[in-house]
Amino acid sequence: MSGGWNPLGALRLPTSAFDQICAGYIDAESMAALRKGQYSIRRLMLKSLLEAVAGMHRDVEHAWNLLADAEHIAPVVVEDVVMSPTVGVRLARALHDVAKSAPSRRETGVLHTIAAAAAVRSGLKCTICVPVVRGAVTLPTVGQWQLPSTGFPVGQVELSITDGEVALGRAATFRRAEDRKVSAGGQTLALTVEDLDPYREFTAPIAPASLDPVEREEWAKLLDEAWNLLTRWHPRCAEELAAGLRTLIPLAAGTSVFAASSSNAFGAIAMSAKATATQLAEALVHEVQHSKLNALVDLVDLTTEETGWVYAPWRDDPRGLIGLLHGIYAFTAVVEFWHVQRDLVPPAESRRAHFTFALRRSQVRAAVDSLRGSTRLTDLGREFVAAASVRLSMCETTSVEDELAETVADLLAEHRAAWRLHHLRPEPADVEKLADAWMRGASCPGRARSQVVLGDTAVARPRSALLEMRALAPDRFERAVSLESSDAMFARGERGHAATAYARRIQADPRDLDAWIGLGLASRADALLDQPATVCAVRDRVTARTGVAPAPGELAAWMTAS
Amino acid sequence: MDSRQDLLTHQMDLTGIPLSALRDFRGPELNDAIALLLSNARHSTPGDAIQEQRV
Repeated sequence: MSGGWNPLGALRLPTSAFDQICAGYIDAESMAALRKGQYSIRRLMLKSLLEAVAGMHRDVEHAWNLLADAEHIAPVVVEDVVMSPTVGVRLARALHDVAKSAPSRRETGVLHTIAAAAAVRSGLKCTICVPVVRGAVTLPTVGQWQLPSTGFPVGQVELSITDGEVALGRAATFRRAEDRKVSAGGQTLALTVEDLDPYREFTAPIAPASLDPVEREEWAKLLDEAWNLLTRWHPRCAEELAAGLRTLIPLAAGTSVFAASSSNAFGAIAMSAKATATQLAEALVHEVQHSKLNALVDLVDLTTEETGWVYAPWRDDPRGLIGLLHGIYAFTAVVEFWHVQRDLVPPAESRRAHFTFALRRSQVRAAVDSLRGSTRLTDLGREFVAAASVRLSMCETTSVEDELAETVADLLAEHRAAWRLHHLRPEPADVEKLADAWMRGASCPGRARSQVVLGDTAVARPRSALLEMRALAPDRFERAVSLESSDAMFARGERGHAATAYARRIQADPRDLDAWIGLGLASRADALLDQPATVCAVRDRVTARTGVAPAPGELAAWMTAS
Repeated sequence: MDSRQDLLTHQMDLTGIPLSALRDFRGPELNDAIALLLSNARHSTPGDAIQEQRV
């Protein structure tokens, strides 16, 4: 077929599916609509890879034909293999490779690997060469053959496949990831606990890391308990997890990643070991939202442009607008989770539950409000954010204790001010104007224009740590804040003394940026919280021009009064 | 029943065409889709696609 005639129409997404996504939890039919979109994209990726490497690797057409034959016999099997989460990761890597430079056989061999897996499962007879990655041949949804280490790298091996059996022509140890089913409340969650596939962490290939029997038992126990919790208290979320979650990837102990998902791996969630079933349930609820939103934005536009950075109250670094929408969507579900769950946890977990509910609720509200009137959202994007706002308002009818509310307000104010200090750069010309006005004794002429830059994100916030301790472990907090530090004064609520102490710190070291934020919080100086980078820049400019540093509090008050 | 029309997405529906036919299929829309995919792949950075929460 060729020419202008195109029998391939555009995918359609039922409006009911979009409405369900906005409203929170989706049923199996809507999940199937998202999955169909992902399957179509995977097929486009396969075709793109074929077009890109057809002239480079002679046997690519052989792999494609094998896959096509398997599809003719067993289309459901081919779909299952192609939709395996790690296949998405491999295809994305292979396309990145072919688009950037000379493609490596290890990456482009994904086509052969998929074809081999489909051939095994559909009962075809064939021979095919597949890449060896991290010392193993891994056929998605089939299993892994670990080759004995010879000290030499092995690039690829030829597989002989007959009646679903695979012969490698050399010694190899076969194993496969565990399939697990948990049932409760009439809902069954069937997933693969993937600890073998080299692409399971969505990045460059890594070695297999089989769970040991104790770890396996612990994961199984927590998964059972989490599923009980979800089906009992969050049945609609359980329904969408049952429809959408396919693979759980245990992350190695000691990783700093709490949980992760990838737009290349629909249906997969990676996570570190959790201490409680509630934590595991929360992480599942959170990550499946990313999975849904990733699939949605592959189909429709929620934003009018992708460029430009914005502030997300839960991140230290600037985010793109889509990243902010991801956070809003995932954390709205988390707020709803804790709205129900915070009164159901054991006493030992109660403080953290209430704290998480209050903190996430305020963070998401701040993010949603920041998008009010945004011209960077499409109509669908506005609908999406408005729905999150409505869901949030349902959770805002519940009040939290005054002290907790105050702590959360301080944490948000500090985080926002620190982000603005590190990632906003005021226009030098505007700083100069402000410095001029200050030196003339004139009133402040207004705010400086500024732009977002990728500044330092590895910023310690000892004051936030104390505030969090006050909310989570008041006994430990009482012992810790006996010191006469500025942060301790602030955390104890002695704001006047704290303001004086922070001003002293700034006089001693004008580069003590944390003290600037502390002064803003303690003295409630809006300019320091809103435009901390500008206040610092004006102070530096005035100091450079006059040799006298203005008092930080006076400068902040002058700018606040504008 | 929802009376609103389905949303038209910006993705071609490749789920209905057999792989045997897709192998040799050519067409301006498909070519454009492939070109866009490869362009996005070229400009992507490993890790771009990952959403993660850190402890």
